[in-house]
Amino acid sequence: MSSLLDFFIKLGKLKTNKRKGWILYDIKDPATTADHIFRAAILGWVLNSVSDKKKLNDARIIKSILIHHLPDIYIGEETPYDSLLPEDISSEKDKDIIKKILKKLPQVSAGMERKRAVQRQQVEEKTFHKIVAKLPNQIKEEIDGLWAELNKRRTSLSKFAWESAKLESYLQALEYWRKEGKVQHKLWNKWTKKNLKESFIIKFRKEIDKILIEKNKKCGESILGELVRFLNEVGKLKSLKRTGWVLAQAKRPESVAQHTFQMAIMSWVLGKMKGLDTDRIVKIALAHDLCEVYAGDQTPYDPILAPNYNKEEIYKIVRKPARVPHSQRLVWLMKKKETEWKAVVRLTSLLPKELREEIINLWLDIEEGITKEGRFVAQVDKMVNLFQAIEYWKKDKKFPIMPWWILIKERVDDPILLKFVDELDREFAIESKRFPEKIRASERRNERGRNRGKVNSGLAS
Amino acid sequence: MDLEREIYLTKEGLRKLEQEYEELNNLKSRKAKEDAPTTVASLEVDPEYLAFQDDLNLLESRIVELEIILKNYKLIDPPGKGAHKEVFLGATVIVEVEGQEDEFTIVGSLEANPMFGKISNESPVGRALLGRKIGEEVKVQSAIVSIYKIKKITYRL
Repeated sequence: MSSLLDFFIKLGKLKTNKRKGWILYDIKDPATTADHIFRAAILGWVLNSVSDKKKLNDARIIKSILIHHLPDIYIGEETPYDSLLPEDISSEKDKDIIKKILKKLPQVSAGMERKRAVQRQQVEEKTFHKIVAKLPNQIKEEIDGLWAELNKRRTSLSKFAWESAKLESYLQALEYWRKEGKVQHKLWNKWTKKNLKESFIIKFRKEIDKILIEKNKKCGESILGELVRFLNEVGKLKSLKRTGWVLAQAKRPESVAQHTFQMAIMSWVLGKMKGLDTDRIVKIALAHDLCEVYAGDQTPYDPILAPNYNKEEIYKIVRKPARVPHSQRLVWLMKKKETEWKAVVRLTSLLPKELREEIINLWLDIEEGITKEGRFVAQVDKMVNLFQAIEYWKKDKKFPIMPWWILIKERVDDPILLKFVDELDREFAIESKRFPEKIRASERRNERGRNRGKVNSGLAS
Repeated sequence: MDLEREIYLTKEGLRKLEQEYEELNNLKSRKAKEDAPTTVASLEVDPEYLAFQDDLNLLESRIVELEIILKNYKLIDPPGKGAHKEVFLGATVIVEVEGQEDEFTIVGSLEANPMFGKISNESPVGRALLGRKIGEEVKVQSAIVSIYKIKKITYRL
């Protein structure tokens, strides 16, 4: 479990790595690598599902996209401008130089471009293997296989996955251009025309152009046009900060998209160890918070927070778990369920029938616990929250960590996840030192045995 | 389905699963005859069955899962009157934890829904409460220790 914990902590870096290209353009609150991966995975999935060609394995596309930036944990992202840029791209004095560089596509010879690409690939390859080296074999083999396929880009699937990810960056560039005007959209357009070769990806790129550049409203009525609209809406989750962290005054609270990215990989890895259907798991994870595009991120504190509370009053409340009287909690939960159901129906309303129902079904699976995969991902969701809370607490010891520890012990019962929570427990105890009291394993076993004996006396089979 | 774990069900939980099993089998027969209703994503659709309408594999695997559950479950019965002061499966327990009051019903993993106050007997808190009596303080161990004081135990099953 400790190798998994280490891997998950490293993944967290992708949630805070702001994308280099957007920093160069001086975008306000730019998307991070994890934000990009989240929407790229959804783009690859939904685009494949409406493709006019033979359908590829959508879960494999999603998984390939989920891992395609792993080396960036250590080596950061690269842009085609890298060889021309000053050393410190955040330096105020070089801003004008950068602006000038960005005005045209980098003038690098084809030979030089190829050489740089090969060099980068070699470094990525080495870094990737370093990152996954200590993972348990069953998951390492799967991730290694996906990486090898993606890196060679010889299969239709790997080309589709890679170009889907590039297309997400293009879509984001156009969205920033429309919002802030800072992005050179014509250069981006030229670049995508040169580099994206898959016919259906090109078709979708043209649809994006019609809607976002030509502002042709009629195009939005086609299936591909609806996909553009859907992805625009889903993109809002990149900037929607998670309410629980905002209330707890976390520094740099993560976005819903970042949380979903981490949850997708964590539930995939842990689900694999449990022998579950991880193809279904990654899709459930990607779909689970889509309703928040319209319903927002609601928290169990909502019923007890008055709108006029100031920051200090809120902080006082979130230092303890939200214990709401049973009847009041039921009313809130039913209302929340209804709002979220309406939101997911609205978000998917104009998608093709098959895709719409697939997304709704996956969303329902985690809500209602229909399959063992749905029930598992629901518990991973709780565990990811504790994991993230610990990360905030490590950086700021004033972060109210106590409620997350208490609630995890009420909400998770899966043996694999409980083992992982034990691992978190150990790490937390080492970090805190202030909580040295630890029960010995033998005592815990004795206690369990005693409880089991008493449980049995209250049963009838 | 993890058969190494005991499957505990309340009477109400059993009734729901039996009903679901019947409904899904009916849906399967209708699909075989190709007269299954087509679904529309609207609020009128019962979400419980929407997931199965267009996914035969999912429908089949859920039916198999339900068959395993219905063959292997153990029913949670309230204990005899003399034991009502002790926490067994199926108990609704009012506890005080860190100065706050809360109410849990302890159920099997399948019926657990902590947001609705139903916690699993296999969760650390569920496990710790089982076998304890009114007035007892139950310590749940972790890096942060939490203490649950049992204030009231009822059996509403």
